[in-house]
Amino acid sequence: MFNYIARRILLMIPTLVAISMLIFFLIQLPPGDAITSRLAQLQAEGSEISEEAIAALRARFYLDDPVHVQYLRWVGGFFRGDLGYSVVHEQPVSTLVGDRLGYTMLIAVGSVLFTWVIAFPLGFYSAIRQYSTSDYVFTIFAFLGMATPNFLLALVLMYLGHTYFGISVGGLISPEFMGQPYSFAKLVDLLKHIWIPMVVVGTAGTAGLVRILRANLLDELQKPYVITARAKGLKSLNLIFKYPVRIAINPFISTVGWMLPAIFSGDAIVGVVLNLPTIGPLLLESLMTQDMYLAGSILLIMSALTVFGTLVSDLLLAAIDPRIRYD
Amino acid sequence: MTEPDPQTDVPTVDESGFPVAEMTTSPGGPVSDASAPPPDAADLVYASQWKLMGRRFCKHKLALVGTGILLVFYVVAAFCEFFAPNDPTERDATLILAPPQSIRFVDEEGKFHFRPFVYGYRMEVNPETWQRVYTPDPEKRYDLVFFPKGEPYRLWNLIPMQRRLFGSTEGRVLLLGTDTLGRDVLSRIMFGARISLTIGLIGVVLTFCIGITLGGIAGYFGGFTDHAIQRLIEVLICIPQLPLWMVLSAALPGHWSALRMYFGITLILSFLGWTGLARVVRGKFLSLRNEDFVVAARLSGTGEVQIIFRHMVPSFMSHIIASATLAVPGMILGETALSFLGIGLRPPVISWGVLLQQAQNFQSVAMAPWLLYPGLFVIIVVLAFNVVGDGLRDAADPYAE
Amino acid sequence: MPIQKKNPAQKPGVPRHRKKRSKRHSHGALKAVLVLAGIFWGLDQLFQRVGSSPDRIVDMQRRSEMNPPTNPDGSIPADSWPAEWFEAPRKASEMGITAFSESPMLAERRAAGDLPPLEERLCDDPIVIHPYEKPGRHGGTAALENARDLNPPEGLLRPDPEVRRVFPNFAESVEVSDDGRVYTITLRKGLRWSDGHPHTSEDYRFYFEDVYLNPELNPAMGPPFIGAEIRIIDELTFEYAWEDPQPYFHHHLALDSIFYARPAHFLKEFHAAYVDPEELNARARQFGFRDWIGFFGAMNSGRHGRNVMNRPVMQAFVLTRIDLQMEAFERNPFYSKVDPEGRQLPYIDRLEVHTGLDEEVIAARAGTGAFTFAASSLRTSDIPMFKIGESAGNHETFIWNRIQGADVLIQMNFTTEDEGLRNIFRDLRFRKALSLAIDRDEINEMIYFGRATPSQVTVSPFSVFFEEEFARAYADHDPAEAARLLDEMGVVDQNGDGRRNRPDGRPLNITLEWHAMETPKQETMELVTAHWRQIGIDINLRQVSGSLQSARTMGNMMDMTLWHADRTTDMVFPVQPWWFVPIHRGWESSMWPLWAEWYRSGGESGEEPIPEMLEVIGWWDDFRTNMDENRRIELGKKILAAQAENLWGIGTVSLAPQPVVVSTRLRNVPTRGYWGWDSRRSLPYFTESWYLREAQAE
Repeated sequence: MFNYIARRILLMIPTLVAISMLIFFLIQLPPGDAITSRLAQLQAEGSEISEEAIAALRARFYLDDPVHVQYLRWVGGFFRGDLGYSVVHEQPVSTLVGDRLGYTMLIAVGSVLFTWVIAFPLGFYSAIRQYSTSDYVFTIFAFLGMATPNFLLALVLMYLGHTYFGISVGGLISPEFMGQPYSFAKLVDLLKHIWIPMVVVGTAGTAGLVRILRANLLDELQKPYVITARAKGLKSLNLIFKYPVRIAINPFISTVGWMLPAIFSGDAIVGVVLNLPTIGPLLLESLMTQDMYLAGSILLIMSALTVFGTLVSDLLLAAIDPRIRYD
Repeated sequence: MTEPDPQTDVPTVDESGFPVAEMTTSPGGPVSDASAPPPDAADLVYASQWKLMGRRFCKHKLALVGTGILLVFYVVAAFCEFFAPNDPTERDATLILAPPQSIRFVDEEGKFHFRPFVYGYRMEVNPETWQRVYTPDPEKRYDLVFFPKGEPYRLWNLIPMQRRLFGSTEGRVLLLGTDTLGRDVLSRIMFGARISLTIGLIGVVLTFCIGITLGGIAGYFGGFTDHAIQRLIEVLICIPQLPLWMVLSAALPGHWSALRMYFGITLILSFLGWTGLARVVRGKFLSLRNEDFVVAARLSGTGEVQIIFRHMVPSFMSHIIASATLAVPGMILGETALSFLGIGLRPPVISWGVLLQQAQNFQSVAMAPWLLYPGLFVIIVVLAFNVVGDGLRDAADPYAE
Repeated sequence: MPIQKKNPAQKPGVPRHRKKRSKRHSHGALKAVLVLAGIFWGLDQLFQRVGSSPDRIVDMQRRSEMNPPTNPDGSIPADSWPAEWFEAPRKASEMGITAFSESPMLAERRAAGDLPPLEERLCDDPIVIHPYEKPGRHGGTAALENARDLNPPEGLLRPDPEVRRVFPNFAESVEVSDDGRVYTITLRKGLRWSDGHPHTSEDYRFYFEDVYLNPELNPAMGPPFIGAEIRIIDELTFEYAWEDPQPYFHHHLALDSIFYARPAHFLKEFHAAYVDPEELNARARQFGFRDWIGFFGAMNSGRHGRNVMNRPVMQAFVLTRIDLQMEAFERNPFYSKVDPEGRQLPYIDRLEVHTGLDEEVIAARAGTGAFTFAASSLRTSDIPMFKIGESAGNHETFIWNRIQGADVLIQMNFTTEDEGLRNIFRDLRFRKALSLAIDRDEINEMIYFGRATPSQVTVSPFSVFFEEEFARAYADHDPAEAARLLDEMGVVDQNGDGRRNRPDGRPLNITLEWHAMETPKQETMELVTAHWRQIGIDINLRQVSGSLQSARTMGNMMDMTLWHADRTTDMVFPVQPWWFVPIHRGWESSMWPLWAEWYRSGGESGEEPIPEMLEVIGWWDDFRTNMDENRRIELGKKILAAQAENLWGIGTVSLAPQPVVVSTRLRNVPTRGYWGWDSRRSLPYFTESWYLREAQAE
């Protein structure tokens, strides 16, 4: 077990290095660089810029260094907790990302929970009542959730939430609670808003999970040990919960890992539509202003979290499922 | 399922029993027969599997419906100039944000007409709100006919034509309403289908090529190559898809022409998609590498390339196609998402994502919800692809009944 | 690893079920069609109702009319504003005001010993602001989408409502020497920053010498101060002096002087000239900055009207808190203006600015009355939504006018690298053809509800430089004449593909790159490109980010681009006639990057303009240094006549309707006004005198 964990953690390092190199390569792609954005910004303030000034700006942000030096500086920063520096905002990335990451993770956790809460009963019921009307209805709903573009669902839910429940449009907190200290009422208000992104981000993953659970459970139910148990007169539900469910539920744990990228994807677009204070909209903004270091740092944070999530879910799986071999 | 397959001449799969036929026809199955299939049986094996698959697929009614829907969509997309009742760029200052026209059989006076018709609109601007209010105008009765002669156009920009599938010779038929410039939403959806649906297909073909090549290399050669490709896939899978797409499409030069942009976006969409396929292919190669028929082929001196393409690839092609089908909706959704965010395709290109981007505001949900119709079509197509993909996968699975 | 089947293969179920299933599915196709038809029918019924929604606006006491009186030229009648707004503000002593009162919120703070008494906080003789309706009451919190809407960048002087003349604000007086080379500024006695520190000449010196002239802090030297020096006379008096006469420097003082004074007592602590650079850099790094420059920049930043928390300001409101979704401002206790009854302004105690929202959500919130005042991000096309939302009784929609001389200005690059294209652009017939091909009435009807003024680009109709013929130049829709002009210059369709070719036979490929900002550029260009396709000119549209637009302009890589033609009022046209004279290149203008470079470098680099343009530049050089006003008007009109004749840029419509959504509680907001860069949005309309009716003292 210990060896397994150690090896998994060691394996993470080359993966992360490769990801960071790939991302660094990607953020070098767009035409122009951060200075171009800064120039545009200075122009927005009505100033004009000399060639020397541009050179000075470039030097300040080390843009004239060789690429590998820039890369090492960027990645090296991560080890020191320095997530890089946004040229456009003239602020450390960690300041910009800080609270937003918290909200993103909140939505991520909420979405995973939502997915589980919905997917488990649906998948379970579909499996034991295979080909029943409810099986079809559930399957259709799961499919619909998968097929509806996130942004469309978000837009429509936002409209419905506003029209029928009086939820303020956009954001996570109503204007009247902004800046207030945390209280029960504010928490309720937060919950009133946060369900929309949770539902939207969660529905996309639900369909897949329902179908996997259903298939796994069906597989298990056909196994000889179940049939034997049944033949021996074990009560149906007890039996199902005792063994097949425990095995079929494995994907719930393994999904934590691979759901994270999907959630970040969902957040990126839902956050933009709903104007959430999460990292998705910040990423879009940074791309629009070609603040590529900010974009790269955000992408790397997301990827690192994913790698970490996968690790955790693998370890959990190993802990829960005794059939996993550690070599 | 009682009719025996005349070509393969093997007993049909028994409902409850073990699929006997699979053992001899599908190399992918748990082959236990030690004797290698005779060399000239390759063709038979090849054909029968497809046949079997097709038959199984036909049993999947939902998948057949999905196939039908997709066919309709692709035919419309291919000949959208003919199917669209209006020119998608035709503007009208007196029909801005007009709601969909209802198809009627009964006129204002309660008289029934055998030929369906729509009423044209009378626009009034509310002086208080500046809102354009449309009321059906009984004076303007436009009969719906098939193949009306309208403005001349060119099919595929080549063939000059004048007739369209349906419409009216008396006025514009706007079954799904109009947008902010008075353009017909239905016609724009049809033209948008051409871009949005082909992006999915071309993307998948690209994905397919990359996936099979890399997956095949990894699975067949194993060892270090396998290891390297595995790691690469792992790295790519760890980067969230949409954010990565966003970064990539931000890197596309802004002054690219519409066509280059289109291919750029397609490339981006397949940049990540191949990983899943490559894993499947690799798995298949690993399991097939030591199968008897492969070993036999190798022993009889067949070249590696021939083994791969003559023997191994066909044996799991069906499975791969199913996976590829399931990958199409992701690409279509990807295009809509990117265009919606304003970093994908841009007007005047018409795609479903572009149409939705123009409808992304609260105002359109509240006051002109028909602008969201492209979203409904996205849902239908994605659903259809999923159903078809599912059907194909079930059909390709040798364990299936 | 356990074998986990990823594919949910359907296992054979009990035969009974399967039979049922296949039966059910035998009608699958029919069902699918029925379901789809049902969905469409249902949506159709729903949408029919939405589309023909009747007028649901409740009757309420309105301040504004939807179709307010407008001058024939599209401008706003001057009597829309109080006559007092066109005069210098009077002082308390002139009005006979002796007793002053303060907001209960500040009274509390004073009682707690946080603040000195009001008399000590106000300057010696504060100016009195004449309110639009009537004097208001203290208190309340205003919800905004943009802080500057109620906290505009006011400075030494202030423009009048028509953005034509200037009046004193923080300055007691501004004297110009007869030769126009020296501006002597006297500050009001007793003015204080929001932290109570006196506001003196030192603050202006600090900005000029330590910020503006510091190449590290300020890489960009703005035109007004080029060649200038500052001379401090005493605590309250200082002079700016130039070699050349500056007939228009007071315009900068009215619009930009918020930047000319920095709170020296506060910022010196972050400036390497005043503290040990090593220590300062270390401190900067502690806060996550690379060096002191970034640190100072952050502390100083006035970017987008945003402030550093609690940094001393002169404006009516001080930033006190920044949250993820909100910035909160509190009234400046040292703000030295009063109302006619002696109440210290502003009336409103707090501002809450909803941040991080995009246009769509802002529009949605504005339409439901969530904002006390909103305008900056509101679009003309959403006016019906705002009006319909009025039925809730929370807000009203005023129609102001955007101050732009052209809501969308089409620019072509006369110095583009592509020689063939350059020759075509430089051919007047081509520009005339493009302008004549545009159906401005259709644009007006479709995008502006017919309420804008179709016009060629020129100055505002209420400018002293305006002539009607400038606005009419080639602004009629005449596609036949346009086609004739193109034929005449040899730009004809040579291969029968419906698109015109260059005279040399190559396809005429033109790319128009534009950045979405402020005005409805996308909708306009969808129409304009369609109009141009009609005469056989097919251009590619590319939306680009602002930074890319800027970079490509600087690199002279653009064929065509767009901006909105602001800078067309009497206040800004005389100092930045960017659409008419090649003195500027930047994201606003890529009409002539190389000519602008030539002009700015004194002819050393860039490319010499064509003779017609050299003549215009000659007029401009005379104009910007001539102290004779009549002569300047003459020269200004010559410059504009040259535009009308040569069509350097092509305009669409001017004075477009701008929705301004105002809470029914917010009073003293003029029902009409000019919105845009020239007026710095709300700057001329005395936002400090706006108040919240029945405001609860919180």
